[in-house]
Amino acid sequence: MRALAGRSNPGPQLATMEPFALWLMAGATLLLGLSGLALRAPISASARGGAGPYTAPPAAAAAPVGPDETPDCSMPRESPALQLVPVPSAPFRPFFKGGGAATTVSAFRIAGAPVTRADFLSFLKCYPQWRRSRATAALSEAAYLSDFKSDLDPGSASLEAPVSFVSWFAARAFCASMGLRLPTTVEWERALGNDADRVGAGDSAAGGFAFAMGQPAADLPATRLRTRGVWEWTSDFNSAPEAAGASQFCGDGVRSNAPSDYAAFLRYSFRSSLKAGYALKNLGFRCARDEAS
Amino acid sequence: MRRRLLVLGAALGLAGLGLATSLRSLGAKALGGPARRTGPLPPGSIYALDSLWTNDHGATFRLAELAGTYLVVALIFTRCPSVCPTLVRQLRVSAQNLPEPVRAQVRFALFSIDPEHDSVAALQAYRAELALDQEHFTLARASADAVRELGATLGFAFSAEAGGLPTHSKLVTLLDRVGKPMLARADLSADPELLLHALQRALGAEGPS
Repeated sequence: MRALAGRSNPGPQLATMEPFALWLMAGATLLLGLSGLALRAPISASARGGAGPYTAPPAAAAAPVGPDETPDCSMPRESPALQLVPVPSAPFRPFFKGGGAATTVSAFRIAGAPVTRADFLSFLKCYPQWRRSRATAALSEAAYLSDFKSDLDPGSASLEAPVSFVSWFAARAFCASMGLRLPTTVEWERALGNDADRVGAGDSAAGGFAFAMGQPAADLPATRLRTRGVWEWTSDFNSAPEAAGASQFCGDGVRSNAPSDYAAFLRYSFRSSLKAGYALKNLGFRCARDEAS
Repeated sequence: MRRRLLVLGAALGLAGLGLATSLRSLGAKALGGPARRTGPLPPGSIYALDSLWTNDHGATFRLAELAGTYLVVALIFTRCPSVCPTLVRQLRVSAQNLPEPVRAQVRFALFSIDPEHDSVAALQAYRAELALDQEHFTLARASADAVRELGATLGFAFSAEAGGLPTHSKLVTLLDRVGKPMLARADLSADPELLLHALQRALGAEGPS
């Protein structure tokens, strides 16, 4: 109604109409209103999986834009984000796991390096729903891609730097767009959580907490697998106990297997402080996939 | 007189058009077509997620279909030995204690974090075991990926380990009609009136309907 009020030509002049006609109009409006009300989700309908008043926004992995924009949807082939390194099955003791027993991490493949800003720019060209101006506020906080000048202008920072200011949802969508997924925390730690010669080293030359940001496992090729000074999203980043305290946690999640592994402690602490919509300057991601697929 | 008839015709036509449009959109929804949207979803709204869920009757639905009512969400699994049943019983008691006008505006949704074990039949059995009424309680399962996404959106920490019981946080979240979290608690036992008061405040702020 507010929109109508502002228009110069509101159509039929109500004032000149006969009262009878006004009643009819009111009746018609009422009917319209009632039929509209019928659309509101009745609770029982929801229970049966019935229709509700909302439709979900486009899925993360929706189809690329139409042919009119004809973006180049191929990822740069030489990008390390696509070079997957095989990680053989091996016994592994996650940092948080009661009982001290090793679990077996099934074989998988993990990208040799975090996704770069160039990689992510290619993704944005093909998946406009993840551009800065269109990203759903529900899935990415305001800082999302805040180092970009505009939707497709990555700004002055190097395109070869790891992308950051990306939410977990966006990271997930990127990997899904390439038929990949985020690594699980255990997979990530298996491949890159080698703190053997790092514990207590304090590696200040690397700057900040870079020493805690990961090193390739001893049985993996260090030349093809590296971290780049950013923390990295994992698919189950929220699998660690909450900082709020063990009383909120059910089960054995709060016991550590390696209390002296300060680097791992930092990583797990950092991850457990995250929320999926966060977009942080020093938080990027890499993709992975099952070995079998 | 003729003018009156014209106006009458026009009004009836308008009403008919309205009904037809409504029926069409109803049909579109039944076929999984586009439904109405009212504005952007707030940060953290689970209704932005596109995952497909199955309830304990085997019917599939999207989370957005739960929008429009207040929603109390808990992530559970049916094998959970003590924490989940306690929590679910708390929710059942909370639901029973709500005055009817408030209860009519709220739903309780229990999502399984154990998709491997929690089949539709397992959820059915769980509903019977804990005496959860159809009118107010939704029980649902989805893929491990969808569960992870929902957990991440709500800030619910859990780990699913092959062969073992999931380790998880305790969390009850109250969402408003568009999925904005209004409150999140590990436990309701400290303040059994918490849900009631939050709902009364929210409904009061909406004004008379």
